Amino acid sequence: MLSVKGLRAGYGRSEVIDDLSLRVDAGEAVAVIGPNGAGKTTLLNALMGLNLQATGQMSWRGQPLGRGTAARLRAGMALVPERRELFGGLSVIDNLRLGAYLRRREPSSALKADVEFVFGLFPVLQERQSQMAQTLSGGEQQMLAIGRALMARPQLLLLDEPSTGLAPRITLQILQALDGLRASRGLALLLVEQNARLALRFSGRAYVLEMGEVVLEGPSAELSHDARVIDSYLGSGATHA
Amino acid sequence: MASLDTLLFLGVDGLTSGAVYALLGLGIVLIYLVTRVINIAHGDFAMLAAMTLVSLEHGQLPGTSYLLAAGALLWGALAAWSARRHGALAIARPCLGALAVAALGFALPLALAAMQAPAVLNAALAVLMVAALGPMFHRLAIEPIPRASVLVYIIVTLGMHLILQGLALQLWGPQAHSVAPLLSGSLAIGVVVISHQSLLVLGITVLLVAALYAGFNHTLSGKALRACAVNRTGADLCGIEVASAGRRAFGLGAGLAAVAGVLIAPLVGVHYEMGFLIGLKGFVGATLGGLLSYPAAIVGGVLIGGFESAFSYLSSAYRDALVFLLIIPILLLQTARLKRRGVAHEH
Amino acid sequence: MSIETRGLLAVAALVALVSLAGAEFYASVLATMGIYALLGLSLVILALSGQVSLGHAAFMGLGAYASALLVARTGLPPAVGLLAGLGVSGAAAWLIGSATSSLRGHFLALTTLAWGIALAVCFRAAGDWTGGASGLAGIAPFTLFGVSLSAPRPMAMLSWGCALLVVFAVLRVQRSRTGRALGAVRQQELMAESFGISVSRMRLWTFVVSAMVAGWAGGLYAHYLGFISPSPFDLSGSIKGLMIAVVGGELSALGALAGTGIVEGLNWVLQAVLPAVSSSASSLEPLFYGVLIITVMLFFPEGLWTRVDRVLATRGARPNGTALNSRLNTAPAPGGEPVLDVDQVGVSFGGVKALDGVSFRLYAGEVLGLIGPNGAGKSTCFDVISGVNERHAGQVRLHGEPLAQARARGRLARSFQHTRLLEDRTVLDNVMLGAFRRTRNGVLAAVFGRDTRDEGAIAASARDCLARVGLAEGAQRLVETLSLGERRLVEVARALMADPEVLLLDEPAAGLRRADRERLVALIRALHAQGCTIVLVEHDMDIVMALATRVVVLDRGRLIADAAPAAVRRDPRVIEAYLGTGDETC
Repeated sequence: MLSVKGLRAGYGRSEVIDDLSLRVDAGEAVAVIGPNGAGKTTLLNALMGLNLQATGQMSWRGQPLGRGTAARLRAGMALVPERRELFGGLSVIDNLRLGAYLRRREPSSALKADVEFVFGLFPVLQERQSQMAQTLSGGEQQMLAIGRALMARPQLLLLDEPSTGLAPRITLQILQALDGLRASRGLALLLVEQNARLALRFSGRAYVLEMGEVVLEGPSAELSHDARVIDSYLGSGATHA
Repeated sequence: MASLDTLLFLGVDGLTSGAVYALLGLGIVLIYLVTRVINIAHGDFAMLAAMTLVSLEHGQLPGTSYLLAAGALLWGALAAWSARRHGALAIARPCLGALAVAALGFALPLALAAMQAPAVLNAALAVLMVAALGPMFHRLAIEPIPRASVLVYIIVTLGMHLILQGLALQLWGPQAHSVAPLLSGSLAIGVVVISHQSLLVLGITVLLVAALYAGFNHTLSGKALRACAVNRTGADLCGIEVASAGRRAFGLGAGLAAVAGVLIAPLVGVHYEMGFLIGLKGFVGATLGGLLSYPAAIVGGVLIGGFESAFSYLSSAYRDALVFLLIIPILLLQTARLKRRGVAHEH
Repeated sequence: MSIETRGLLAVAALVALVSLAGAEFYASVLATMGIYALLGLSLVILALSGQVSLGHAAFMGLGAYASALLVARTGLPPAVGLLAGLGVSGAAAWLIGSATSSLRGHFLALTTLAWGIALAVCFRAAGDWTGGASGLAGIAPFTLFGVSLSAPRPMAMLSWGCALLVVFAVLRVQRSRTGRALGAVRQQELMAESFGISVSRMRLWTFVVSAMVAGWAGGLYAHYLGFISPSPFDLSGSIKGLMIAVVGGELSALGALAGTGIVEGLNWVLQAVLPAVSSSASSLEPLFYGVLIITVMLFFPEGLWTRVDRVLATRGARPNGTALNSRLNTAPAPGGEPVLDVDQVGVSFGGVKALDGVSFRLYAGEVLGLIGPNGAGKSTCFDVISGVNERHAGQVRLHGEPLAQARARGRLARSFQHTRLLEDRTVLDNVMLGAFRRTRNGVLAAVFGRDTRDEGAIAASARDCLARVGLAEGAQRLVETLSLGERRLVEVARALMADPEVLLLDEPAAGLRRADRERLVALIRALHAQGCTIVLVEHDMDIVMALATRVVVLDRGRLIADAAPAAVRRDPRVIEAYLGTGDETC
């Protein structure tokens, strides 16, 4: 569904990602794991069109993707960024409505149904729907960020380190909810995580990213027993010249 | 010591000018929040609207039409140039759009003059024409330098001020003009006499503030504009066009200033220098909220109006000096408050 | 004699020639140009510290009125009046600057606009003193041995002489310790503070000096024309000064001279040409100035002269001498008392505990690796031990002295992950900045050339540091041309220049390509061999494991391991911290 070949991306002087290729098929859950500084956030930003310096071939269902974030939203991708990037001074429900901004010409009944759906997924958001987003706890903000992305009715959801700053139990809750969505709606997931074990548990296939390159890839079940993953995070113990 | 009558009179006077400063402050905050531009030329929008009204009242073609035409044609030319590789249709569209706007800029005033339109329509057209200048300003002076520092924008708007004021001087001359009030007559409360125009100023300010509030809180596009101001990345992720948000902000801001100009025109003499100073006073008021808060801009504007009346009474020669010096304690208060909250300065 | 000095002398000669031999008209044009050049220069001086003033003509007015009034009321010679003008504008700047010192950026600009207008209103209103709108007439001219210097010819030479002196002084200062410090204040405040530069003090003093130069211009103006009114000292005057500075290049003293030529030239052309076009054409001047400003800002935001300045900066001759004494040359005995003692440090941000009860020690000659997964608190910890973050529980002591004391902080030096270098200066200049705490030369020493020996010593030491990091040939390159790897090396070299007890390196390898990383590793190895005590924050485990003698691991604000690299790598708690657990138990 999403096919990436030869991606190059960076910021200003530093080139973070060099000639990277990956793919995500419909209804799949794919994980991208790797140590910090590997370029995971840069990867997601480039995929979502936020990084204008990125070059390479990105195609969606066989068609090349247009430039910019709006094109990707319309195609069916949505991103939940690491820092959530919520509209702190606006209410929870306004944040959700803005997530469907590009769909604003659709009948209000459809949009309302989507809001109800998000509330069903994360009931606490319904409780707090008129509160300002910045008053929510970390976990609730993460739920809101995901809800906002879901309002765009994506077919592929990109998640950048959803576990950051969250208690393990809440992260688990969120990932289980998303897994449920995958089963019921065929939502594909591209999950970038530092918590490798959790990511491998909730995905079918995984890429290991190190220094902007894919160093390992394969079924998650196999990778979770692969010692090379530990090396990737903690170094191989060999000294450099 | 001032008598009660004097205090009441000063109060009304202060409230009226305070309302104008509040309107200007609102536009300034709106523009700053969405675009991070400190628009020093803001008051000149008010002046231009007042001048346009003068021309319309006399059934003459306002110089603003030429400004609009020039702005539209430049914009059209830039858009056509950047679309030059996309085929004839893509090039023609902006050109036609520009010509249409320019034509309207001439046709509408002439139409109103021909049918001897009532003052309200003249005022409305003046506001519309000047509001249209807002997005042009943004497109021509701000968008070409998207990543400049705030200081560069200040200097650019300073340049725009010189241009606008200079053009006004050429188009309408150095003398003061007068405009008939939209509502004539006055109201007497006790010994204080308030003109109906002053009441109109207050009334419309309240209405506009309410409308802005409703728009920003109850319409999706209003919320989208707020979102751009609050979190640009988040807005990007929702597909909100951040670039055009700047133009809309300038359009709204210029419109607010134009309303202020049109309302205050009958109360003071209209001349080419009137806008700049009242715009700056609107700034001083808006800094009460660090240029980030609409309610603070309103309160600040009213306070400045009040102080100005008081200073007028105490010493009319030094009045403006004292009003402007108020910015120092306001900003110091701001900085102290920010430090206490531990917010990092993002200036 | 440097290129600039030769250029200045050439200009001086040219001015003298035109003033004495040319028609009197040209001399009078030059005279006004010289005065406005001073106003433009005052704004350039201000811009060097990163500040902008939209109301500087008010200081010019203060200088003018103060001088004129003093001379009129006391009969003292105008030279004394001029000095009084300097004093008044300087004092006013001191007051205003102290009150607004905490303001930054555009708020400061708005404030300057506000009180510029306020002062202009006062000039108009204080009729008893200033003559109000009609102004003051009959101001005494400058005289020397009975000859009036206020005629156009001598005045052209006098005003240009003053302007060229100021340019000379500014150029000298820019090449000196103060100049480097100003560059840091303007571009990298945080880095400036970490090397001992007091940002607020520098900004205040620059403001005062700049106001005094503007006041000087005002005094000259008053005694030249013999008549002053409030109008040149209001916003239009400030805008004129701003244009001169901006057109030439806000940061360029020479550019201000070029700018004056352009602006005054435009003025002259407009006055000559416009009346022929239309009767009210003289009122078109502000319009043209507006167009000029916008054109410059849109197309040449750096000004027209800045390119030239950059080239001159790289060509300039560098001082030389014997290197400063350095403690880094003697390897300390390892072990013994800890160099750095971190004791129960805790940091909270709005209810979240970024650090909680962190304690560890650093001994001489060690390379201590500070690692942990994302969000563990590494950067917070680093900020605490480098003295940047002072709001914390617990104590950090350097050789027993609390880090809260500036003296202790002065014995540390750090590099920055997001490199904080002065882009428009050479590599050598950037490295020399690191020695700010080691000498004391100020502005006067720079202007009168009394700092040559110290500067030579610093330059020599800087070259040594560059050689140590392997960048010896890059000394004269502009920083903006460097690659990321080279910039990181400059950061290390600059930190070494501070001759610190402890070298703190903040993710020096982040984002580097393989070759650069190996270079960096070799460098740190060499420094360790020379006896440096280093704290290294890094994400790259290969590097940490290769270089560190001991590793401290943080996770969610707590210290979970403190041991040799091999042991840390096998520690199950560390592995769990990095890879996470697969289930919900904490």
